[in-house]
Amino acid sequence: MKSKLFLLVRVLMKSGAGGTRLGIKIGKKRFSSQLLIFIILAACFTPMAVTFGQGFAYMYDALSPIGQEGVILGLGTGAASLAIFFFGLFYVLSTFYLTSDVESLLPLPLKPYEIIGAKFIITVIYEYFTESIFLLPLTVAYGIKSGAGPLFYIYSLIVFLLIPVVPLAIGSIIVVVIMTFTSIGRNKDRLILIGGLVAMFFAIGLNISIQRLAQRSLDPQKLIQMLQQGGNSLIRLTSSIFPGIYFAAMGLANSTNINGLINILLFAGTAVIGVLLFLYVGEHLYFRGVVGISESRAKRKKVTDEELNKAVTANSAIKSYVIMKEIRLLVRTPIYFMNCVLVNFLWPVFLALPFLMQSGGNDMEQIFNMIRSANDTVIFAVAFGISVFAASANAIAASSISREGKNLYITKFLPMSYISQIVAKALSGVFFSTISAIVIAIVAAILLKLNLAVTIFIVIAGIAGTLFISFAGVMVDLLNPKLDWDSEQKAVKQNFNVVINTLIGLVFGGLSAALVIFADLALVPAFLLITGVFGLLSYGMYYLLSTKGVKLLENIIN
Amino acid sequence: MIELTNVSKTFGGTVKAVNNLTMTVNNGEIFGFLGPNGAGKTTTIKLITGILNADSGDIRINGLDIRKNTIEAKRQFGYVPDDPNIFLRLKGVEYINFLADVYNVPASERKARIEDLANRFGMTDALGDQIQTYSHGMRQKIVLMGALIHDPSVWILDEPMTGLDPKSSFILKEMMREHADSGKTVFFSTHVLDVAERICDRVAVINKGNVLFCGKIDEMKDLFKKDASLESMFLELTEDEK
Repeated sequence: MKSKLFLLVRVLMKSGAGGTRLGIKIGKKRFSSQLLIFIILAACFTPMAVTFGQGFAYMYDALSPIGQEGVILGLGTGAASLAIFFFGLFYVLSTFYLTSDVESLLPLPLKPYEIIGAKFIITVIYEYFTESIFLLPLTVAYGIKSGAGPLFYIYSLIVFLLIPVVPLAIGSIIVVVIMTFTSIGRNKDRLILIGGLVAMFFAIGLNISIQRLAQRSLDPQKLIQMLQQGGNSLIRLTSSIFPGIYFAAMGLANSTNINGLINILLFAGTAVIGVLLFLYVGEHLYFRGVVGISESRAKRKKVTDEELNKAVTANSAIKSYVIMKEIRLLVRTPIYFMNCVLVNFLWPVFLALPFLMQSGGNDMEQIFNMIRSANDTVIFAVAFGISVFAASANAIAASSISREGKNLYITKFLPMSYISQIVAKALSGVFFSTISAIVIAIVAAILLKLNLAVTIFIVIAGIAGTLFISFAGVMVDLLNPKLDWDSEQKAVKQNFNVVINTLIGLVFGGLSAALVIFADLALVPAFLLITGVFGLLSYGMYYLLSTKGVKLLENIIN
Repeated sequence: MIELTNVSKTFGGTVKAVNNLTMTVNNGEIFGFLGPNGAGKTTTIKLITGILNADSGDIRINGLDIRKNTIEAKRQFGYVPDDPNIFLRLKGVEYINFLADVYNVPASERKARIEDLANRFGMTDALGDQIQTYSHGMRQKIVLMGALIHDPSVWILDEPMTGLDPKSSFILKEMMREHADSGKTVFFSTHVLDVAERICDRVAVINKGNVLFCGKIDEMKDLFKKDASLESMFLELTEDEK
């Protein structure tokens, strides 16, 4: 009987399991908006890719005199594999086990390898977008610098297409085995939370190592030293973690001779072995872990009189809406918790990291002192800018309508005016962003030894900025809400409204900070100006919400 | 009391989901809203509850216009949607209390009402758990409890029996009867014609957005000039339309 594998790939793509990411959705409007998103994302990532490219070219110049330029290829492919592996782990977990389509696929007469294989192929395709940020600059930089012939580019294409296979196969096998033999999957919420926290710590770890690396690679001498001593072992390490990477790097480096072809074939061979091994494990274990995943446990214990008394306290409608419907759901839904709540507390950590890590170095000490000696207005303005940006990046307001999904109709029949509900949604954003602003102010106060007035000014102005950006976020989401989703991840992580609002935050936060600094204002006028302007902007945005926003909400049909 | 006057709703410019619908659901009656799949039942209910806006016509609940006196009109009814999968990460008791806040239920009355409803539907042991741990029927019950927490005079229930076990279904029907007998209104849609035949004071049959019949089941029998079952009359009515 013909395998259903590719049929399933096609259906899953069309139904949006990855399709929405790839812009494959058919239909004119959809296509054009997807194209727009693609262009904007490409515009956002191009500078990053160019920087990588320059870095690779720079490394090439430093390494080619000692005949070690191939190291770049090993490093690039190794780093890409590592990134694919770690980010893939969580993605694999969610597509294999947590999306709602699993439940509709299980009753169909499909073999385990067909389901898991189709999902694997979609994951691989998705990874092409991630890896292109690393590998395209690498190929271009190395190709130009070495004056490579067409074979190099053909091999590069093969490497590009096959490189996600082995890391993802290994990641998938790990996930499948864990899900089969442990009880961790019995509590879906806890599982998502643990997976997400691991991914987040990895991201922080990556951030630290990149900073360390960047710090050390400032000096070409040091860079070469590192690559000769620690660096080579790093490459060996990556190629021993992921079989085949060594072949890929060797194949690319030797594209002019027969060794190149042999290595590329060996590389392709490892990919095939990886897939077969993965399919074998999947065929035998997948169903054991995935069946019953949607079962959830409950205590089923009678609520005591005391508990009931506590639970039925009366609140005003709007307070209850903010606390119960918005904040509680944000905190209790793991995906929302990580992307909307936890992220507020991570900003200060990210900002403080360089200071904490490098406090020993002389160079940093100087920079540190320089920042400390900067005038209070500059510190105030920068901290304000960061608070506004952080408020825009936490996705709470900008996904507040989208998060309702197919339950948006509930907002329509409740006896609460639309503007009250809109404000309630914005307030949940203000709540968490204010906490973020306070944490940023406290971290700045401790690191930079700020006085109390500056700290308080940062918090108050931060609240005004937060109010504006939260109102703006709800407005952006009202204009084009993403209500058609089957996993919560799509409502926040794959929601373009969040990107737009982050850009708004970046522009308003950055511009106002820059204006205040360049106008050379004293602290108090700067504080009054910023708070006043953002107070007015907030009012303007509120007015817009109460007129146009209400109409928009009224007319959304889903 | 629910009054619809010349209500129409078109989707996408061409598909007439509800066509010039006029009907009145009186106080003191259980009114069954019947029709095949896609007939326009849920659309009509969404128009009545303010989830959708009608293109034309008036809808009044206890005399209050849903478009002009929106909030007050919405306070008049308790609504059970056809999909009970809502607020899955709230505990049952939190969900009910949230709705009690939204509908301004006095604190002094809440506890007794929650206990009474939970007892009736056998939900006392589940109140402390998140709704996502509930079965479909239990979710249906918690949504019902939420809709009734403010003791609304008008009940609007979209397929309320779906997923309920026989006991809960019986209790709901009993409650509907009590509610109507106390002079208030019950409006519900259903596919289960046996239920409609047994408990409804009046029914309306809708197909393709048009009301084909509105009145007592006995009147329908007169119309067909035979003592047929509601099922066979329903099939005949909706068949003609095709």
